[in-house]
Amino acid sequence: MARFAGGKAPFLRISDQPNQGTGIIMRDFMIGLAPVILFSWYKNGIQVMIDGNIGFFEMLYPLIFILLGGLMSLIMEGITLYIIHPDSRSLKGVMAKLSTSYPMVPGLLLAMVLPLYTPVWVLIFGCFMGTVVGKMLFGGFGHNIFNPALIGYLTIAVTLTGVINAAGGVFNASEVLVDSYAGATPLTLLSRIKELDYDKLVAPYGTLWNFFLGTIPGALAETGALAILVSYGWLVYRKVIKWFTPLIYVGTVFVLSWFIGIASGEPGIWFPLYSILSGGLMFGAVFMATEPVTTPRNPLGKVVFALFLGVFTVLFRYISTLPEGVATSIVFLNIFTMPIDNWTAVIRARGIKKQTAIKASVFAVLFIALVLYAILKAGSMYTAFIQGPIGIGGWF
Amino acid sequence: MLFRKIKGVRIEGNKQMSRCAPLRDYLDPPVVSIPLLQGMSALKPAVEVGANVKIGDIIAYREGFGAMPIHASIAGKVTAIKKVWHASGRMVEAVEIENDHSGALSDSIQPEKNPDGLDKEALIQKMIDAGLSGLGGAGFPTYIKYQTKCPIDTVIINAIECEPYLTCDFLMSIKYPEKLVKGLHYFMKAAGAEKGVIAYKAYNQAVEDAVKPYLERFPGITTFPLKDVYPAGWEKYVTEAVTGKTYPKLPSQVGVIVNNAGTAIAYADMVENNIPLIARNITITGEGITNPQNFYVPFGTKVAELVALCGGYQEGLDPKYAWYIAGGPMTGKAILIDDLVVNDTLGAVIVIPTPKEKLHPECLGCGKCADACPAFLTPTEIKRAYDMKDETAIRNLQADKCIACGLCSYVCPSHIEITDAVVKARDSLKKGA
Amino acid sequence: MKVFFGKHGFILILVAIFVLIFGLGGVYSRFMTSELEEHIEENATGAEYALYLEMFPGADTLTPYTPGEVSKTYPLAGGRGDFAPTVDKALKILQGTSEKGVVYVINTKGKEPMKVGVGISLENDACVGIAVLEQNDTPDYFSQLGDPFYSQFDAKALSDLALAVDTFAGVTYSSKAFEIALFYARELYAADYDFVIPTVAMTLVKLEYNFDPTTFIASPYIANIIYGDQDTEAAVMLSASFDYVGLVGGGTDLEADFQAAVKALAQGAGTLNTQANFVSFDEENNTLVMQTKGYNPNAIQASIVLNDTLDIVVSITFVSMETYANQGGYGDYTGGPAPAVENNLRNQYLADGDPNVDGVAGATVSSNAVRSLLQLLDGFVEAQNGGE
Repeated sequence: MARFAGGKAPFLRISDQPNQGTGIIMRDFMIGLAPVILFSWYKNGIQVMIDGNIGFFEMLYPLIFILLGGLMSLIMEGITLYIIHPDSRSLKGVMAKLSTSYPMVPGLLLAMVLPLYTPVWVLIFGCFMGTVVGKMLFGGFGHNIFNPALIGYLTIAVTLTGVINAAGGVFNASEVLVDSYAGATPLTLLSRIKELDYDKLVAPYGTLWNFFLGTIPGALAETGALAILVSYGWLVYRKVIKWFTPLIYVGTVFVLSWFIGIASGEPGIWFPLYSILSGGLMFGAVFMATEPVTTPRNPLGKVVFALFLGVFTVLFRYISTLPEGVATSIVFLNIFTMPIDNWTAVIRARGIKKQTAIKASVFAVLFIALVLYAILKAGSMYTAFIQGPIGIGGWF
Repeated sequence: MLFRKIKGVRIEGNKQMSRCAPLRDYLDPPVVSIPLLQGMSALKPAVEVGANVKIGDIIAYREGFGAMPIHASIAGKVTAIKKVWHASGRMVEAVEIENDHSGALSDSIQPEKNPDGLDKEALIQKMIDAGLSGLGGAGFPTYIKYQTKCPIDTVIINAIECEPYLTCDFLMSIKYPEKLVKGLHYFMKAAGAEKGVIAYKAYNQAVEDAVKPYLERFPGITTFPLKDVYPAGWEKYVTEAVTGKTYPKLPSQVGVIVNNAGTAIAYADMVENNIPLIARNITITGEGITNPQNFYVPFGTKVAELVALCGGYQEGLDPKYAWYIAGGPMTGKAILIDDLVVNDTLGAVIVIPTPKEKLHPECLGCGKCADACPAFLTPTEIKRAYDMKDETAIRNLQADKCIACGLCSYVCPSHIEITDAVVKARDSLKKGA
Repeated sequence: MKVFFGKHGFILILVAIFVLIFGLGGVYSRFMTSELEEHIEENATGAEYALYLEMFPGADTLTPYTPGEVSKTYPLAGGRGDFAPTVDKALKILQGTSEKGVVYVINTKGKEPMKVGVGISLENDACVGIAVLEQNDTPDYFSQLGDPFYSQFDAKALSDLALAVDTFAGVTYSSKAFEIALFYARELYAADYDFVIPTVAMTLVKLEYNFDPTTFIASPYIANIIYGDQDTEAAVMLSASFDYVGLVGGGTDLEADFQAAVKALAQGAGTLNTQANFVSFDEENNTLVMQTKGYNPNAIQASIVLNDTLDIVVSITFVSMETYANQGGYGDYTGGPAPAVENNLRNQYLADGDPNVDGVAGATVSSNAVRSLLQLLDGFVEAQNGGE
């Protein structure tokens, strides 16, 4: 009875069209990384050379470093595939597998969130942790639970920060000469002084405009908010990412930071702006929180995921001792991707009905509780230099 | 609610292939094999081998749910009852009639003297007598829709034909606009509905132009253009677009009945001339056909004949290595031979070369399937639940709401057979229940 | 072998690339790090050179050169022994091609090691400025040195025999470091250029306190010297800052050169504790007022009543206290408000007559100050006694 063709309905597939399919999505994603990579190269290489602080080979380093990240991931994934698939131990077999597992991406992303003066061997270690441990051991592309790049990043952050700092750290050769930076990125400064004061947090780095352009110290590619916005536009235009995920994530952090500011007596709009423009938030929101494999599939799930990301980022950033919080919160919530996806899929399929009300209210209560905790706790941890007209700072 | 507006997906139609050629009648095939299967239920034959039948004579009965008679589509001699290939992909028993080319009509085919004088009961009885089932592709017996207890205020004629490639409803509509409007008129009477709406795709302005002259004669009938998206022809989408109402299970719950354009045209003939359902429109198209066209053919006609009428296969196409997609490209089934017969649900046969096997990546988790799903399901989750055989989860995820429109597979960038998985999950629920 | 490479060659190449990147990347990173350190250093040097050029208006270039070797030792402030300064580097300051001056970067020592650049103009053999490059002294003290202190180095002629630096009250250790640097720079300058350090034939025989109540306020020190070609002996009265006041018992004043020489020698001797000094003496009531410097420039004052022959201390009252670093306390000492420590030490002294009283834990500086005062007082009393 082999009269059925192998194909199954539908017989039209986007993936069969020449300019569609996962390969194209990943290509567009890489193109989306380009503005950020170029900006990072400009800021940490070209501009510094123009300032006369470094030579030509040092100028090339940021670009080579990022590309090396991608290359090392590729090589490591190739070697891993060779080892775990004895049946396809040939150039062709490994290449075929590599062509559908997009091995460059974790390494590129990882290299982009590391400080400029990270030694290459640290990068290679991170690539190993990200690609081999974070991705291949879970079963390869499509099966990993955690964002591979962030696994690599967190491993390095926990174990090798000292090595990176000893090798030169996060400042490029121009920034290291600026006395007002005092050796701190904006967020490490905040976690150090615990005081919401424009003159202390923003003024040393110029104005918020500098934050927006990205001419502030920080990891290779995380500072350039403008370049990231360009990438965001491209990725949304090409439908690689959902437009609302980064927006909700950044928006949640914005609103929460504002409330925290008000709660600690600093109602100025500069503080939420400072919050979203400093550190890796924008980068994480556009490139990591939208990473398809490790985030929920359905749109409602993405919304819930992004909301919780925002709250946890604020919690980790302002309440724990970690200066960042983006990487931690994304990896933390990666664990909950599957339940969130499942629950929101049910809610979405049924609408808010009796059967789904419990699930929906669990999300709502959890979210509100975390928001309130974040505002009250952070509001009492920070003091504002100027007591604003809304004097609720003293209540907590 | 947020994220719960059916958006649909715009699909490259490929309709221009068969659109331009006019609808061609091919009512006198040498032999027909009328399959003894409708929907999921087998028919009980009512004729013996060797009997002579006229057009419109009853040759079988459908029993149980949707019981109604089935009629001979040509006049001639019953030569055999044997298995033929059916569009569902199975071999089924069929009544083979050899055409004597006499064109003799059954006695029951008489012009109705006063069609406007018929009341609701009589109109519904006509549907049963004529064996009218939906020509849209599901083959649902029409009269059951009209026996609903819910009050009906609107009858919508679905001339949308959202599936790519298909053009036969469009061509039928512009060829028989008067019958279309009349059919709707009788449907409205049968349902007791005040309003009738002809829904068509906005770019098919020709439909509106064709029916416009007749609208004045039949009050309460309007036209409604819809966006060119898939699945715009889905009952729920049409109902929501036309009336703004959304229903949980059946359109009659919000006072709406939706019928296919072809059904309406057939119904007009039934009411006025008592002609039972014996023929339908069909699109023969696809990259493998030299000259794609639409036909109006009796049930039981062999598809191979129609392909020959279209000028045969495209040069270079080996018929052995082609797919014959029965039905639309989104919901149909691919069959490996052209030895098919036309039945009431077969709206098209699309011939395409067998696609090359490619290596596709794993699910990337992009969620495009969930975005596209018109029923707001999350296909990835249903697939996961199905893979784990977790029936509770499948039920919680409302897999039974799936309409198998095929959009999730269509949009999947990794070429995953996600529709297939969801449909299987849905069917596993039905079996279990 | 060929078959093996045909099958597994590519993976070996991958591994080779991996190792290659690992190695070359490591080298590249190391290169980056060392370059960064160099850039930081270069930049710092640039800022330092700019500082030097500022000292010489019109100068535009610097060339490092190796100065002649000079080894000398100088006594540190507070009697902490001798210190041999070293030269870190020497730079010639040029305007076009003509040499304008020279900068010596000298490792000296205040409380802690300190690095100071001393600019010397060739035109008039004068110090034209001083630049602090590194210092680790107590910030609270060091920051008290302001423009008035530093400006004394502008156009300070090296031909000045004494070349003394006016110490800033309370910051004697740091002040001394500059003086050492200046002296040593002059030695270096004399070695490198056509410059002779002025000398006077004079030997300091003894430097001691002046216990004569009639004169000790204006001139608290007396120096016994031998000077001149004929080895003339003389006893010279010196002011608190070792300036020449006059000869003991009057007589013809010394020549200006000799006066400066006395000051230089006395200042350089560093054998006397200058922490405490006499303020006034009331003959009628046999009351002596003394003061000593503790934590702050504001001194501790003591009013001392003696017997008629001035050789027995009858009572000591601390009439005013310094403003303590911590309000009402002595740093770490918490035994009671001021003058608890002073009184404690006084009682020790009155009990056994030994001026080397034990310091009070937690109030070291104040203890030292009071001990100095008591030692000076003891010296005074003994001097009166010694007459008998």
